[in-house]
Amino acid sequence: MLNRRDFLKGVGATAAAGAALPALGCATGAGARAGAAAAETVGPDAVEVTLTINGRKQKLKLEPRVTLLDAIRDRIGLTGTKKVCDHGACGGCTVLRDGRPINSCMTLAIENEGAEITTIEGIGTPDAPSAVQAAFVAKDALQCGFCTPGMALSVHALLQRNPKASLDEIKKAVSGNLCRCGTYPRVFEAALAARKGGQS
Amino acid sequence: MKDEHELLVGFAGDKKTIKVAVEAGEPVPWDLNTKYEVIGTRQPRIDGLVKATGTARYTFDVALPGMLQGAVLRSPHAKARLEAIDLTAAERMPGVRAAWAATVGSYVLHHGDEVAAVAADSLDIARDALAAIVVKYAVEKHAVTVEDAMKAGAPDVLPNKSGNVGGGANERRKAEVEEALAGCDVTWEGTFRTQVQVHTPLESHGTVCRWEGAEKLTVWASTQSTFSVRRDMAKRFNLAPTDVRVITRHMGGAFGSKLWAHAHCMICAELARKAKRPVKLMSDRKAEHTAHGNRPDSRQQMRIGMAKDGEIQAVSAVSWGTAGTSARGAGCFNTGIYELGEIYREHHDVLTNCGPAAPFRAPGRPQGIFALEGTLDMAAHKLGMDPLAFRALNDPSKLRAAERKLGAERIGWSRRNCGKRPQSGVSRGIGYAATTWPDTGSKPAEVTVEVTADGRVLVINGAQDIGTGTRTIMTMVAAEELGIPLALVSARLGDTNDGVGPASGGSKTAPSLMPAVRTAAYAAKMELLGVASGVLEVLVGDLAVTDGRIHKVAEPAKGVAWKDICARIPGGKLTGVGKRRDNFDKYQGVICGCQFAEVEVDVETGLVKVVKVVAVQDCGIALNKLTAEHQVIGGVIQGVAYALHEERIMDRASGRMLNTDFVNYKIAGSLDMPEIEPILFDVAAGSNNIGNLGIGEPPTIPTAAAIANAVFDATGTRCFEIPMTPMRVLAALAREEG
Repeated sequence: MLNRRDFLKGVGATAAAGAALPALGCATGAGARAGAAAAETVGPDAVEVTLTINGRKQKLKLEPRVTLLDAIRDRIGLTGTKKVCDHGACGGCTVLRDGRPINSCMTLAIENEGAEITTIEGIGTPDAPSAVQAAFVAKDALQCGFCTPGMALSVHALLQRNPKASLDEIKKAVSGNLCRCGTYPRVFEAALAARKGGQS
Repeated sequence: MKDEHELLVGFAGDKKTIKVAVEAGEPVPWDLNTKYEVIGTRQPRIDGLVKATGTARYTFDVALPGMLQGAVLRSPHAKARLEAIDLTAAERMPGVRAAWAATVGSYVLHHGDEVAAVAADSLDIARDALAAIVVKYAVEKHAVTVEDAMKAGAPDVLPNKSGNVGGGANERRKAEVEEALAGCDVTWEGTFRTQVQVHTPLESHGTVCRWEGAEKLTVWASTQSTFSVRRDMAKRFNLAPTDVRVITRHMGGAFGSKLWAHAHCMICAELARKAKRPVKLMSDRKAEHTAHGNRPDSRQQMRIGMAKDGEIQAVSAVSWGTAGTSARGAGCFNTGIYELGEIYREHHDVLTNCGPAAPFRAPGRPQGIFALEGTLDMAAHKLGMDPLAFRALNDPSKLRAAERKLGAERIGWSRRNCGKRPQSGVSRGIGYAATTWPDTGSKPAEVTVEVTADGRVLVINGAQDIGTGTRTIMTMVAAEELGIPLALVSARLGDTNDGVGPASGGSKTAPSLMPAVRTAAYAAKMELLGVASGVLEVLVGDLAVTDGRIHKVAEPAKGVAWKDICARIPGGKLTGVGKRRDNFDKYQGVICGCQFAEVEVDVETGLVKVVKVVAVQDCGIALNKLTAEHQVIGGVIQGVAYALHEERIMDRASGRMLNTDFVNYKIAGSLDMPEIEPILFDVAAGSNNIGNLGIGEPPTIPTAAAIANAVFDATGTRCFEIPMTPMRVLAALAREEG
């Protein structure tokens, strides 16, 4: 079974290394690094990476195999983003990259230089929650809370680009966020309420 | 010294008076006549904001100075003897600080069983180290399905136990019930099958362990029971329980799989001890699916006999099921609802080389009710009786009758299809099933209520809130008893340094803990009234608290603000302590409820869509309607997924679980949602000083049964096996046709 480390080792060893970087990720489009690094090999030892998380630039030194998720949680210490399946199936690790929800476990930290990454901590705080977060609490759209950051970000991103989203569009927007406690119906209600509230 | 009180208990349709003996220091119990300010309202969770903003810290989020990351090497084989485990290369790797291995000569007994573990500076290093461990397995033949384990000549699942099938027949009783069945006017028989269901909480199992010297241990645990983890760790490491501190402020789900300190907790503590540094050991998703618990499957042969007027006279239930490598745990329970006449029950646990079962939200009951309610529906059909009328005839409970009536109205029972076979396209149907749960809460629980000079109140207990809203109802009960606004009250949970509390399992948290909260609040209130008595020069017995005001009982409009009296507390803080007492004789010894499901079946694709579920559920007096309803909703959703698409798939040849991820093990998602209408049915249970019961488990028991009964109503076809995948529904439809 191919793991990330072997994949990168293999990539580094071939002349196709430079071209491989853009191919590394992201179904939603590679980060700025791809263009700049056309002939560059990285790793396996730690390299310097600058990530922009919630508007703040974070200078890190980490191995290329470290996922964006692990960088956010373990290096930067923002633990709102959760590790649940670590293979892109559940949405627990959802963050926003340039406003779009992605599974942060499925992208490497080094692929995200130049992108604006927003975590759940970036859209509101207990003292000043966003409309979506406040709606989640008011409508009781959570139980254990482990899926909640991912759910809230998916809803937040939807309402930012589509403030008049319908119930069907809301259901689809969170269809990549799994919840075992069974909060879906109230997540829908919270999204609808946040929508009515105007700004999200 | 006890005082006798009369309580009016029950509900509007069935009230009665019971006499209870109330111990000294206990408040007069609430009953059907009590009017509440806070209890029964809808309150958002007090920990909602920290969860919604990502600031709540779960075990997975704990970060300590010098903390190492642990990882476990798990068996790829279903059954093998561990001939050799060589840790040398792993231990030598830079960044690896400690290692553990299972005993050489012992067995791994299922795919995913623990073999070895390391703690390292990072998870990546730990995983690299696992890859460097050399294990010599002497692989043996396995059996991973009930059928394979029961075949003649099947390999023994366990190394030191010959044979895989437990349980036996009670031949005399069997013969008695056979005779009873033979004497019935009408009989029906059939075999029902249910699948292995895996808990799959989103936060995996895991702990962070930190030793202080050799004798004190702190464990952050993703657990349903802080005190059980404390007990188990103390026993395992030969410590006094008070030398183990377990902390669980928030946890990401369990559904029964995290009720004690599991093997990985011990391994984590062992690694931390060896490394002399804190270790975090969280399972990955594959381990979560293979090694951390499941609901056993079942095959249930049901026979029922009735008089021609519909009175049930005899039932026989013979069942098999696997709890994996556990010899017990696969029983199916269908008791406590209907009068079934002469009953014969025979159950066989079947060992298999699969991950051991763990209690899963109402253990044994979704399986048992699926078979029983399916049997009752088929019996009603054979008799030509309305399914609800048939239930009513055989169910003595007035409470369930009222709940059934309410649910029937809400779903529109008269819209049933009555089994008319559709020729093509989609057909709708409605089905019914009932639920019950026997636990009504118990000792021990000890709560402290602190009142401080600023007028604020803190309710404290060492148990946990697993996502059910325990913290919030603690504040509501205290506010109600104290007579003050809810905003003044907060709660602290999740640290075994605080008072003993219940496990969050068995639907027992609320009925075990909340009466102790009330007693503690009462004690604090009496002490504060003592302060007020001195200030106001009024006897304590003449004072009361209403709406944040302390006043003479006879003059509720006058009085002094709560905060003003609190400012006079000597020393600035007073505490009240409350302990859970024994249960009273009660109106209601069990939790009751029922569900009606409406489905749409496409007879050409076999796709079943659940359109709506009406779930009537009592929990004694519902304390927080907002969170109690959410337990009902959550239980129904798990029941829908159990009915339609969850299923552990074992590969018979390799002995491995095939669907160890969320892509292939399908829990419910947002696009699978029916309309769910939870209806809380208040009953003054009379069992404790509040009259409340639990609610976590009962709502997940009847859902699959109601859905299967609805499919029968929609198509005239009985699907005897869940999950009712399109393939199984089409097969059932084809069978009926032939």
